[in-house]
Amino acid sequence: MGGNEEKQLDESYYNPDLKNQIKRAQAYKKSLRRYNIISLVIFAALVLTAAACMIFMKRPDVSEIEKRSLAEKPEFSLSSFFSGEYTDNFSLYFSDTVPFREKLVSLSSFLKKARGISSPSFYGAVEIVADEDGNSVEEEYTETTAPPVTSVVSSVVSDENNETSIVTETVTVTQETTTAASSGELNIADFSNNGIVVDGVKMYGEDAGVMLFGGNKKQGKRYADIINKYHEALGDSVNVWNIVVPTSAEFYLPSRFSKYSASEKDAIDNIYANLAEGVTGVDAYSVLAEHTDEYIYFRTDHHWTPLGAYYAYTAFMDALGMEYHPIEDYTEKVKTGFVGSLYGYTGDVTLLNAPEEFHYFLPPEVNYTTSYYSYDTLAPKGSGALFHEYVEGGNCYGMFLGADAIHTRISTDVRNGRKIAVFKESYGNAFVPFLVNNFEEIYVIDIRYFGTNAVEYLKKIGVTDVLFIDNCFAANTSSLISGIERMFESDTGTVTTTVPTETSAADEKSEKTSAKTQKNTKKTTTDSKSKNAETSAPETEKKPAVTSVPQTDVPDEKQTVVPAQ
Amino acid sequence: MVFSDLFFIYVFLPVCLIFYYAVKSNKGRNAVLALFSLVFYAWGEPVWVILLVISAVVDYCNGRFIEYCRKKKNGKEVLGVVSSLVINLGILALFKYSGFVIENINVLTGLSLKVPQFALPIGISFYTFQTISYTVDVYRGKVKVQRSFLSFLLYVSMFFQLVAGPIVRYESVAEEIDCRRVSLGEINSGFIRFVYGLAKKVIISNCMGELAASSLGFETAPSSVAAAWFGVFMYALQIYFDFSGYSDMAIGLGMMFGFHFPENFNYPYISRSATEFWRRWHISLGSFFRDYVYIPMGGNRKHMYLNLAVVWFLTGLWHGASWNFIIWGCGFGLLIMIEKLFLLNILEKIPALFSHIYALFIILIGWTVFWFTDMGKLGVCLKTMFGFGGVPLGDELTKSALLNNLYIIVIAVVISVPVYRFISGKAEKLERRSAAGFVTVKSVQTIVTAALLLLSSVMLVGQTYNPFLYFRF
Repeated sequence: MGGNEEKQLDESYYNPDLKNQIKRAQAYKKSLRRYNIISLVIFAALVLTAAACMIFMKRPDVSEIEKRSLAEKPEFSLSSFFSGEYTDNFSLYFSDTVPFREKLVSLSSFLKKARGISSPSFYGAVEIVADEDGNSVEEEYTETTAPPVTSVVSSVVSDENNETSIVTETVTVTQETTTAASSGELNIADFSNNGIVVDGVKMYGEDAGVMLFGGNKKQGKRYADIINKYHEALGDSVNVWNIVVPTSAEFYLPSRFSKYSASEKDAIDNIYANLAEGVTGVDAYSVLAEHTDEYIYFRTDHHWTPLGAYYAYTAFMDALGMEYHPIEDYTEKVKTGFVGSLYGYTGDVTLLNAPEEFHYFLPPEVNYTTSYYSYDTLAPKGSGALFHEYVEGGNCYGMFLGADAIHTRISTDVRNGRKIAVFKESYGNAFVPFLVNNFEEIYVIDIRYFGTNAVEYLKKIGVTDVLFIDNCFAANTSSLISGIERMFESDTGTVTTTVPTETSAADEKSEKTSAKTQKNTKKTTTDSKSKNAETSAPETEKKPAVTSVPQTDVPDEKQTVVPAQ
Repeated sequence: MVFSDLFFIYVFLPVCLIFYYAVKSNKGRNAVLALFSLVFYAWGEPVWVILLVISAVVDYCNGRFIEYCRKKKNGKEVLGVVSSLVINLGILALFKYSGFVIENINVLTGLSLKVPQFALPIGISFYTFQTISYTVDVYRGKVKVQRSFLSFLLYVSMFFQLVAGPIVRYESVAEEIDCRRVSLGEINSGFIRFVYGLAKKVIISNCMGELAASSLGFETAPSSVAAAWFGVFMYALQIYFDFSGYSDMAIGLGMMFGFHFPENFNYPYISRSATEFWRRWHISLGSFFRDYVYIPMGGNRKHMYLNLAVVWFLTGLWHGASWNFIIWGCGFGLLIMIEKLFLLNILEKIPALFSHIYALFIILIGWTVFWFTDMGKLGVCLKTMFGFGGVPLGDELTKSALLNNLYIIVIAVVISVPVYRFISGKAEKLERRSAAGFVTVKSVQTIVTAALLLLSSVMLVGQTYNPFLYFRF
């Protein structure tokens, strides 16, 4: 090269044009060198700054949007290293807990939205399940639809046993997704019913998301069958009621998407038709259908609103022949800025940009106390609030009853001799508080977590009424129905304690073990909150009472993201 | 570890570069690089890293053995090649194909032999081929034997091309392993190339992948004719951007460390025939089979069609232990034979538009076969694509998927044809013309690169949050 240039220079002596050219080439080389340095400095600064942030900044441990705890830093051991688990989990931890994660995730959701023209967006495995008019096409039903249910692997006030039991319970509930969990991938299919449609769907004139109903009449019959069995086992002295709640898909899905959602009316009729004599199916559908112009379902969450639950409650009262207060008698309160689970499921910014109001209703003219019990041992966990009013933002629906994974008893100053047990999934949470005006005692049993034989238990506490309230998805979903069956068949031997009373004998024990528990609970609670968990038997509405309440809305499947320990 | 991973980009790579350039001697740098490469590999395969080392030891010895035999003139050189083939292909057969073979034996004979369940060690298809190529080339006298085990280990384990190629032949890096120079300019261009590859993978390929999965991941049948074609089209984009993105990252990383790898892709989708497609697609694989199978078997001179059949069967099989890959490979083999017989002449004569349509059509059908490991579903999908599936022509879901991603799809299509080459050609002219032009072009380049890096990083964070992705896998 060098020799060549010299020769060129030599020639250029005679050729001014070439001389210019060479000058230019030299200048170009020089500026290229300068550019390379500047450019490399910029890139290095960029990478190293980001690297420093990732390495030294505090990493988040919970995701508000997804309502799950993020991956934990794995503990190093030779065996976990050689199985590849350590490195996998470390990578997962590193990318899952990037500083500013929530902001970056929102930004990436925004970028995803910018990939094309906004139009209806479908999420999940959407299939055709109905004809153009929305009439169900039975043959095309897929076996597994799913529960838009919420649950918490709660690490509430707990003793050692409780902790383990809850973990076990979760495994049962999410067993269909455990394979996905091990690979670090989510498998929402089993829980996603027929997918979600966002954007292009409006409710009450604003942007909304709707969960599409897959339907499964075979499962619906199974659901009715197991309720009939409860009726049989409890005898005629106990009234058994059933409310299957339609979801927003039934009333708000634009007709052009009808074929992607099966008819919930058909599904409910199918269940009620299969109920035995002596079990009453309550028609909540009609009363909800009459009020669809009112705010009875959330736009950004898969649940109904407390107002929707109130209308179902009125239908239930009519069926019971009981009086009830008009909604005006209740103290209405409002939380703002609620963005619910559908955003968590889809990450669709349309929903993020359409936060809604969360209206709830405090019951009039009644005194009541709410006590919590562990699900497996029925050990008392102390009393707490029925309305956890401190919840904010995306956690609003967690206001009622505390965590799902805890058994609740409400005793009121009503004196009519009626005691009710409510078997529910998360839809029941908004519903139960209305019952305080009509029953002496209300026992709330979450069908996903209750650990002992339910029939035995119901007999012991001597209920007069039993209510199964489930949304239409849950009542057609195998894993949820299994929960009800499990409680029915469950070995009676596990009921070791007596009927729960308000004594707090176990509280001391739990306080002693709380230090130990605290370490375990970190997974589902934020740092500051798990510290509070030490005061495990709160008397009042203090926040620590139910540490996990703010996370009540954790969808089951999200738990599977957390690497198995 | 993979390249499109925050830990790799922001921790592993910077640390590796710092150590690498802190050491001055070539030997020291080789040691740093080999060490980091083994860590990189062990990160994903803490156990099977041993296989990689075994493969390296075996072929290092084979090379030395061949050299020794040559000196002694005892004519036993060929044993080195045999040993390399037996051991490497043995490892490959055991880990990649044993399950497949036994399953098929069970089906054919009705026996129920236990199907071995080996998890496929990462990159095994690549490094076994690389070590074979070394030994064969030493035997052929094309390259000098490598006396330093460290240098040879580095060749086998170099993390840039370990996971997804390109298949780098020893001859193309032999000199650079023992002596290489790096300039700031090359580190800079290498980094830019890496970021382009990263963006191809993270921004485009992953998005196309989601779309392909939701259209082709059906249980019983695609939801419409349009859905099937759309899915295949998205898959074609996904696989190109994924694979060529990885190759770009590998080539870019190589440059940052002073290595020059051959290009692996050359705009395959502008091909006008199957023959041309395979000259533009995964070039290092095609040329490997050409030089180590096709030509040794006799090439064009002796039983060409048999040679072609073998090569294409192997090409298919290399892509995976499943019948659909074999069908895919053999299908291309058949087409190439037909093209050799007469079709190529016709394709060259007819207007370019028609030959492009022909090539794209067979490529898309090829990707359809490539996608489905389930033969039943493959049949259903092909039927649907040609209107015999009994499903509607279009559907809301496909329409919404298309509209929701319209811009990125258009961008992907534009990038998969040589628009970038055109622009960079123009830019180079501009930057040489004047100082202002230089500043403009270079600052645009730097800003675009930085933006792509940030964008890809954000998308990578976003991907930790993907509740619906892979819902069917």
